[in-house]
Amino acid sequence: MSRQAKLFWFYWERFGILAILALTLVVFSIFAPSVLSIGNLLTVLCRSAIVAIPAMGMTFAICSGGFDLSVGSVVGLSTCVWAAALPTLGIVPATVLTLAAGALCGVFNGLAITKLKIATFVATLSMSFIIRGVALVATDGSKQMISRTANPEAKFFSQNYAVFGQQIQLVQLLMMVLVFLVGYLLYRYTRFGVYVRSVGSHEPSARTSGLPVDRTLIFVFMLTGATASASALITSSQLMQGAATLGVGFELEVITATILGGTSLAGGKGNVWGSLVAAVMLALIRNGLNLLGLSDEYQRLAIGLILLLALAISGIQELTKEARK
Amino acid sequence: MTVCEVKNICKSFPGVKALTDVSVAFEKGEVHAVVGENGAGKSTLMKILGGAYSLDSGTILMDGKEAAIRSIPDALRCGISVIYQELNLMKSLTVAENIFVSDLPGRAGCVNYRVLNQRTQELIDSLGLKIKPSDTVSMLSVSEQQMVEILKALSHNSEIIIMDEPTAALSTQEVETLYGIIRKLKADGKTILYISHRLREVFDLADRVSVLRDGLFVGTKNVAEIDERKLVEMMVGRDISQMYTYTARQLGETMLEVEGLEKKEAFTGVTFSLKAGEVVGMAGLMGCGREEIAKSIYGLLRADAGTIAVNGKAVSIRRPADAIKNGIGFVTEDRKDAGIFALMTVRENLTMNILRLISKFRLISGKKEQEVLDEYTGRMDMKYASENQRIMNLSGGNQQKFVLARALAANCKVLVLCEPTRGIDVGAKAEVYRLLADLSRQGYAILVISSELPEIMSICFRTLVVYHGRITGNILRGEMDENRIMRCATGAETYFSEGVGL
Repeated sequence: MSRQAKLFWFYWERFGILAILALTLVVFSIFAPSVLSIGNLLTVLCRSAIVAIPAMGMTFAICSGGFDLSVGSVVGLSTCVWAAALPTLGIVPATVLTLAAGALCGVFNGLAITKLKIATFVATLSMSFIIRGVALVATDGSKQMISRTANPEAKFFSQNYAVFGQQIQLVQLLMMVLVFLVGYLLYRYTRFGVYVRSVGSHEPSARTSGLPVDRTLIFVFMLTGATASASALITSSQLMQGAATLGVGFELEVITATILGGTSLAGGKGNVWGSLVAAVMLALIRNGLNLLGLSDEYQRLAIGLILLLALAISGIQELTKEARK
Repeated sequence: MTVCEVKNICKSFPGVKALTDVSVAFEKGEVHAVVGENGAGKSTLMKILGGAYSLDSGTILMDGKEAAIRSIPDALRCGISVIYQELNLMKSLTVAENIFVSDLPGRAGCVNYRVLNQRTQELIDSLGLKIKPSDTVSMLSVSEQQMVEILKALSHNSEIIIMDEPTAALSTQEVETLYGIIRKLKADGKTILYISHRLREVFDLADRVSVLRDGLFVGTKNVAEIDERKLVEMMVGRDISQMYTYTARQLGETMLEVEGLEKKEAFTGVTFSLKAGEVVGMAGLMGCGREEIAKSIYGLLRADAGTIAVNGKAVSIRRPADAIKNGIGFVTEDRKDAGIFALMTVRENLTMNILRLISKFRLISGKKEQEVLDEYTGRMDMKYASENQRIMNLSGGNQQKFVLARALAANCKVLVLCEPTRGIDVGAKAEVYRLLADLSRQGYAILVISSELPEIMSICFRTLVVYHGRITGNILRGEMDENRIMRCATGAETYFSEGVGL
């Protein structure tokens, strides 16, 4: 590969998603200028938290060489836990309990993968059925409504606050920022971050180097579980309900954001900020197409095409690497 | 001074005695080669020393004291590091992270990258290497990655560094660099156990050599007191001076003509021909373009210009299927990844290219398939337990015979062989050479691309030499000598024997 090509890929891997985001903005500025209003952009940014927060966990899962298909089910279960616990326990204990439930799902995922030696794909797929099954059985399939009068504090995660004259959902924005700061520090500066990349890069080497592979993987899936629960808090707070049927197919959206963000499905390479930018971009596209009057079907179509395009560009990179051999 | 000694080591696997009562002593500051055919037990011995296997009985002494090596960390603690052929690196991590991953500096779960990179730089400087601590390993060349493994061994303060076929994937220049590093380590008092199939390297590098055969210890010799023939004899247990088998034979019609073949940035103006009954070598340094030439003839790469003719008829080869149809067979140098279908049976591996011929109404006929297998087993003497055995469980030599037989079964008369004896042991090599000689007598035309000059010199009627994508030599058997080939391969001269066309 020539020097220029190497430089291009170096920057593409790190900032390619920013370029796509910029492109999206340019396209919408032509066809739907109203997307670009400050108020709308802020709303989009806040809303993207729902996908972005679990995408942080997913970044670690994919970087460790697997992925977590149970995220959607964890969201469903978590909304039920929160809605059920809120009236009796109060918001703080209910929230802690919900996050713990998500982390616990992650522990089970991790144990299935490390102790039962089940491939992550199958392990998390089975767990996604089990978790949703548990939620459905426990709630008898019915929605858990949160009463606006009895529990007004339930709006905490989705409340609008006036900031510089704009109404924004400040709490979820702050949650997102916090989650990503922690995620970045974990990824970039800690032993855990190195271990995750080691396991994803080449698990046998990680084992022969004496690294705590099992513990690392279990913690990774606790992270995806807990971040999925955090996202469920926002959803539940918006809808003022918990339902076992929430979050069906949600894991695919999270995985899409992570992959678009530049985290390699081959493992070993993650891009925490990329996942954040990609989640914002997905929210922006949905929002823009909405404003253009294009429905959900078209939004899916667009997202699919963008994913295909992004992976095709990475595919070209692999091809040039091959040629270099 | 003896730094490490193994005494009466035994190790069995289900059905196999891998090592029986093996005792060897290794001196401080020596390069000690360990040789033997595949299956002789040298890898098992290394894995026991490295902690990957535990021993059934026997003792390992480090500095005269008994060492309990039960796991890889045990071995590291005792001062033994193993650098396997398949490097054990985490490619998306940096050099520094790879070296110190099990001992990252820093407090409270955080990594102190300043200290980490500084420590790594000190190690790199100690060997005078050019890599940087922050380089991502996947961006390094194979030889640089190997250096990272060596640095890792040094970071553990290992007294004994075991290298398993370290030159298998290196170019000639890189081998020189590795030699330099090994000599430096030796001067620092490290002990190097060097496993290699390439006997030349044993004589270039080692002080002493130990030979294993069928799990038994044959002996340790000073390299200065032994020659290659004697060493091979120790390895195979019999005199195989007859191993190299070129005999004069009648050449037939021209079977393959390549004219003006060109591929941008790989090779240009490649013109040569092969006659029936001819075994022609193609020598050259790594990266000179010989693999690309071979692949272009077979359609794995697409040439930009030039013509290929088989039996006097111009053919268009755009993909491997075209080549096979026109009677050109190919054996890859990368047997494991691109030659065999590891998980499939020996029968399926053989008949892969001729399914149409052995099918009736599009259904594969088991009977015909078996007939083909029997025919080639008779001709080429493959050894396997049953026709349904997975090919990956055969020895390298037997796998190679199946890859070759697949081309023969597809009725290919022109054979392009890349490194046909890579990774197979001395005994099996001799068999492959005999097989090639037989085939050439039967009228096949054979092109052998090889990095091993002794191989080319012993089995080829003439050899082509490639330098920088051009043919710089066409040397007849009588005029072949190693110096001449090397001078052509390095561009120092061109040499075309008289009386033979390209």
